[in-house]
Amino acid sequence: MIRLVDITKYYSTGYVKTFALRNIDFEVEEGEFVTIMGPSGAGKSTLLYILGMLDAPSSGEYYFYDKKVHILTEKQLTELHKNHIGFVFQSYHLIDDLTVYENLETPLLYKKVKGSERKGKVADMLDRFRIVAKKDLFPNQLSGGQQQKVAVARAVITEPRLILADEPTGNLNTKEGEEIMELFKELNEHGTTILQVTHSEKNASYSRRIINLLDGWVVDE
Amino acid sequence: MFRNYLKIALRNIRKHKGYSFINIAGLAIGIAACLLLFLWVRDELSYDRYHDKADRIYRVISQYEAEGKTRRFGWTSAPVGPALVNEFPEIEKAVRFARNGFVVSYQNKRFVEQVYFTDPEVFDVFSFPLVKGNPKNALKEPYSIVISEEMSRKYFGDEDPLGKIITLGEQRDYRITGIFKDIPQNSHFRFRFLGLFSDYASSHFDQWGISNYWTYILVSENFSPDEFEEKIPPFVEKHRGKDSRYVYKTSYPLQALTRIHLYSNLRGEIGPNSSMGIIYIFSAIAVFILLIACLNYINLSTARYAIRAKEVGLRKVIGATRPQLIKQFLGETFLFSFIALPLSVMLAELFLPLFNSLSGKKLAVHYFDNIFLVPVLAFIILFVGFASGIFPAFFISTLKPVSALRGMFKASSKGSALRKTLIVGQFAISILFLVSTFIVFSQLNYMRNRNLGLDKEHVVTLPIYDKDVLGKLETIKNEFLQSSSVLNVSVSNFFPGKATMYQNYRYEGMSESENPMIRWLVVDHAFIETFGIELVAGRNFSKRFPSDIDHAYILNESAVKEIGWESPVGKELEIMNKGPVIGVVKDFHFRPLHQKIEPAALYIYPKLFQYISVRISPTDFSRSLDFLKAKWQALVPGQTFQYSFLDEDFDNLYKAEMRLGKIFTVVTFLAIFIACLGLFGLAAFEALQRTKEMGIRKVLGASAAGIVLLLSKEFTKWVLLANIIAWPVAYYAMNRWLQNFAYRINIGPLIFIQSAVLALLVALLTVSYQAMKVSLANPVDTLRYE
Repeated sequence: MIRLVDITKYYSTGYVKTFALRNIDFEVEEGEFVTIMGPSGAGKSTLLYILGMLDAPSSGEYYFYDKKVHILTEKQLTELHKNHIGFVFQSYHLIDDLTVYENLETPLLYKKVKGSERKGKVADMLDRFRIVAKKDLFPNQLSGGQQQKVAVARAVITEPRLILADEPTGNLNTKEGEEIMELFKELNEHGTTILQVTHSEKNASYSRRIINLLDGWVVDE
Repeated sequence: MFRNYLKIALRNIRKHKGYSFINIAGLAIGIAACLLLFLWVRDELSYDRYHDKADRIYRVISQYEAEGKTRRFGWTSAPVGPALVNEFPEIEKAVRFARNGFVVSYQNKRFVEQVYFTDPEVFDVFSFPLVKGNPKNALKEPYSIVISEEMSRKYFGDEDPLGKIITLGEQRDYRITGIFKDIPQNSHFRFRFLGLFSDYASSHFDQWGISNYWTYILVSENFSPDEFEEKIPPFVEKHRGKDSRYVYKTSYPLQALTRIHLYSNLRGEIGPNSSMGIIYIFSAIAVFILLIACLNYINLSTARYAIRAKEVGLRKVIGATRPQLIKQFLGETFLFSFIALPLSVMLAELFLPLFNSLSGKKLAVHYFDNIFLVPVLAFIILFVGFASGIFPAFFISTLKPVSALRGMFKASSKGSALRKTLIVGQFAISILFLVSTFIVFSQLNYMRNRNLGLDKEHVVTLPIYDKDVLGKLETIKNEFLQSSSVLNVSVSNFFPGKATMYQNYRYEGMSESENPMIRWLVVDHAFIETFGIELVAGRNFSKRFPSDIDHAYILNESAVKEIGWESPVGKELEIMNKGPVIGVVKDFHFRPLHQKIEPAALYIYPKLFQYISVRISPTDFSRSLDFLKAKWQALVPGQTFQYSFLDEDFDNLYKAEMRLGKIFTVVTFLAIFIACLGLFGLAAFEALQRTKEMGIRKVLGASAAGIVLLLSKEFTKWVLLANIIAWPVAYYAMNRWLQNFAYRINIGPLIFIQSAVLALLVALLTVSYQAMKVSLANPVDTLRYE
């Protein structure tokens, strides 16, 4: 499903090139649950953003379902990741000015889903994640764990084939973290491919494959 | 989708009340100013269009060519109109107007009024509806007169004036045969009394050479002014070819009625006109103000979007395309515009009275009467919304989601360059207005205080309306002089500032091909002394020389220079009669400072006296006035005692400029206010952005004053740059305006420095509030890692 060939990413400040990723090669099959680990500054988040088509590599090739992602236009990229990829961030990144219901609705609006269908999907999500009572609250009225649940719900509501999670439990306590990881496990069991970046060994244990990054290189498999 | 955007937009507005208020206020002010100016321009463009046949009405004017110069006058002579009608089938009707001041009396009411006289066809040509009386025969019988509704109320109260008799002047009775609706304000001439032309000017019916009247014609449907122009020379030849006294080429050009108000500024206009130039200036001002308001909005929005960067990056992640984002942010701008709309209408209504007093009009916002208003407002809203919103929308939609999410997005250098440009632009426009205002007032001051070559202070002018007064002039003079507070009395046909007669003349030694003209000032023996005019050669008029009356001339220096005499005293001149030049006076300003001092000749000709000028002592005006009034009423009972102060009359000549000055002042305030609104918001934003930096600096030892200085330095640079941009534009524009005046100030550097300092002070004041807030904040709070 995903194939990275010789991906390199650097940032140039003035005349100096700072390498975030070097010559990364790997593949992910559909239905896998993969963890990317490594110390701070190893390039994990960068890799995730590239995978999520939010950033472009400096060189190398990226094949998503055998499509050459690295040569697509911005518009085509948006179409692609809008329909197939869901993102979960460490700091939730919900839209503060919208209620939980409206936050969940937004991705569907961008996909131009019709009114009644939208309503149905949002109701379904609220139910599944057991946050129905919170639907009219604003993000700043929720606890961290609840916000992250909403974020995951939002990522999942468009039924993506791939979920990318960047330190999903980083800002949560143990119990909340567990809840989120259980959700991921459940989603994976239903066929969603999950790629997560994390520091936590515990979180990593939910996955079946671990990739270690160090200074931009893949070190271990 | 739309509801989603709307919700967010509204919530955003509520969350950032300060910014929202500044944005909306700025837009509202801009739109309101535009609205008012639009009303004004529309009114100016509508002059004289209310006449049903306006497109077929032309004014006939006179044109003379002599010595290579072409001169045009609004006046024509009496026979021109009827002759045109007789000889050209495409000219259907002609209407002439004459005008004079009379004492109008009815029972115990006596007032001095301007009375107009016209031909009976006036109601067939113009649309002056009669509320009472029949237009077909209202002006048929001799000594009929029609009066306006306003005059009807003034003289007759609630009574019906029809059929009643009023007296004009000495003992001439006129019967009121109709009442017409008050002439609308948007007319290039207005009148309150209308009598018959034949009752006033019949003696001039054949006089082609006496041009004291105004002629209007009604032409046929397929009239072509260009074609008609070719027919004029033979017409002129036929009627004036035998006029051999002076050799000059006469012509009678036509002016479309609807173009008179804005395009005609000749000698002998029937009333004061405006000009297209002023329309352009005011339209430009309106656009400028709107521009400043839009720039404000763009500035504040792009700055604020830094705060919303996270949201934008996020939306992109969850699937928003650029067009969708652009639509969202553009929609927010339109929302602001819509909210600003009712506010702007309120502001416009609020300031309408002030605007009317500034512009001398009675404008009103008729919301549904005016078919243009709603579309224009809608257009302004759309334009403002689009112009203000399109750039920020594009700008924000190009954000890379990654950097936005990582919080790495700061007010990027690209955005900051734009903001600087916008602030500089706003201040440049404001300073442009500031400098212009200073210059206008400077010129006004100069005109008021310049040495005119005559003494206009403490002079009271009494107009002569009656033969009765004319006959008793010597007695009146002597009686006046009996009081110690009356220093001098003079009689003339004009007073300094009033229009004067312009005549052909002949002088000793002139060649036959010349056709010179001169200003003819009819004065008496006491004129030069009363006005303190300086004699530089020869002698004054004196009672010892009886031939001084009607047979002697005194010239001014300009006249002597134009003729080219080396020793003018003794040489011969002829305007009315041939006579010697007995003296030369230093040039004095007998006309407003717009005009260069022209050659002028003083001459004594009592038949044309029109004004008594009394110089009174500076102390105790009211006693002197009472004395004059008492004497007047004793000597000429039945004549109203009407007077005015010469220096006030002089100041009134510059009414147009004073009005311009007032308007510029208001506009400058407005422009600076809006610019400061923007600056304030921007300073707040910059302060916010740099809060952390300032906290660090404080920890490192910077003082509060140092912080304020640091933050203010940036803005100071911008304002200075704005000055440098505005100065050349202001200089060029105001120089052009000053060309209107023959006597004008030099634009010196002081005005520019003044403006710069003022603008700087204002900007610093605006910024310092934010700077102080930042500098006083506790570093601990600002550096806390959230």
